[in-house]
Amino acid sequence: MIYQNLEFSIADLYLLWRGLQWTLLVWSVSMALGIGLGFVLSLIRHARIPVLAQMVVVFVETFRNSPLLVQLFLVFYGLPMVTPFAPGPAEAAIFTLSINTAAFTVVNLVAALDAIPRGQWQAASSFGLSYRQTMLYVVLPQAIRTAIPPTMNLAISQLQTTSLVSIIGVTDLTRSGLVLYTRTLKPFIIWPIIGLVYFILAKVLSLLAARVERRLQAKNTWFEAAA
Amino acid sequence: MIEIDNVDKHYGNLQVLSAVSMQFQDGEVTAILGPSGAGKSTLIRCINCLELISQGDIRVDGMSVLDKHRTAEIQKRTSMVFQHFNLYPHLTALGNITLAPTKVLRQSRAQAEAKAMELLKMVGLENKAKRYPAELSGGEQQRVGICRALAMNPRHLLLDEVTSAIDPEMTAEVLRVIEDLAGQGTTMILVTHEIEFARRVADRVAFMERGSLVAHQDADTFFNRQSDERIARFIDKMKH
Ligand SMILES: Nc1ncnc2c1ncn2[C@@H]1O[C@H](COP(=O)(O)OP(=O)(O)O)[C@@H](O)[C@H]1O
Ligand SMILES: [Mg+2]
Repeated sequence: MIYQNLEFSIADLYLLWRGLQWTLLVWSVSMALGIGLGFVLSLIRHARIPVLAQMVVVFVETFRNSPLLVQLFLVFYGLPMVTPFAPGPAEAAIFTLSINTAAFTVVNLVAALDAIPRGQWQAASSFGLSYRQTMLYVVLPQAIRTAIPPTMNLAISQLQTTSLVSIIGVTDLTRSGLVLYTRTLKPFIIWPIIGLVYFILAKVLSLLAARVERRLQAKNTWFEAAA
Repeated sequence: MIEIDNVDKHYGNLQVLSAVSMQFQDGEVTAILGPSGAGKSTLIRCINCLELISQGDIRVDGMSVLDKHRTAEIQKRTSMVFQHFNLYPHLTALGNITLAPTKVLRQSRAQAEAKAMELLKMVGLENKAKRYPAELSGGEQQRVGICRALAMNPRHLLLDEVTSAIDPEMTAEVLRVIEDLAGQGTTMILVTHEIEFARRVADRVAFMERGSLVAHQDADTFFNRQSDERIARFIDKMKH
């Protein structure tokens, strides 16, 4: 008979801790890259730069309308077959989540940019501000404030989504749970704990987001009047 | 001097201006009157290069709006005050006034702010400099809008129905500011529905209808010796 350790030990906590670190790493790096990329793509889309803007639209539609898991498989298994790049699990995970997050960021920010009243552009341009200056000093400060709440919500929901990266072998929180489960065969202990950790993370993030949102609102009583 | 020379403007199939020709002399206050939809706003937006004309030419101090290289200079010389204020909601009154002077005219912040405070004082809002537009009444917002336009030291001030989005009890404070400016010899083109106000401040009056300039006369002739039946009726109706 093969020896199997069915009991939990202190070392298992360390396993969970490592998993949590990977989850947070994959999540924070891909949020930063994704939101940054999404910002640049939004500017291209909003400026209606020929060809590039259409490419952004295709990009966005593709990545927001297909399952993240499929995107993960495509990058992890597909990329090495057609390109010289063979990403490891973590690289593939961060790459895919960044791209996916960028697509949703474009949706949020372009909506916010489009919502800036024409009068704002007219006023700025009538005083001789260039497109770049109008964007920088008039439009973006307003649009970014509008886009912050949905972008924070996106980031919070992407935290849950990171659990999918366990499938391609990233040793994240979910993967650690899987390891412990296969060893101890105690699903009703392992999965509630894993779930609780995700819950706590999400809760902390939402509380932070709510705070940011309250501060934005307090500072910007002007916002409603702008409409 | 602003010269409008046989200007047409179309939006798709809709002709908004047809063969408009007129001149605005320096130091003159011209009121543009006419029913809603006549093309008054479009005309002054064309002067400010916010809209492209379809036919003809507009020259501001000799520079044609058709010359793309002159757009910036024309916009420096002509400042707009908008019906709906169009203040930047994320900037204070002071920030609204100093943005273009610092970014377009490249004035130092100190210089721009000193000028802005001077202007705010002139319109009686020096204590509201740090307020955001949403914290100001309509009348106050529009006075900030006027300061924002004047901060550019424009040669020509274009005002588009600047009191029509303001509560009636607050229009007087805005009109007083404009009247002071008129007294100081600022060149102004003002689109307005305030007929009594136009009578007080305007040197000349232009009357537009359905995209055409129907009359362009000195104010006395326009108001007191109006020979055109339709215009006379319009003036009469606007009084009430
Ligand atoms: N951007 C636009 N696109 C299409 N039509 C417009 C636009 N701006 C104004 N118009 C039309 O042009 C006509 C004249 O408008 P406007 O110049 O605003 O008149 P006024 O200021 O005399 O009331 C109106 O019929 C209006 O609907
Ligand atoms: Mg109008």
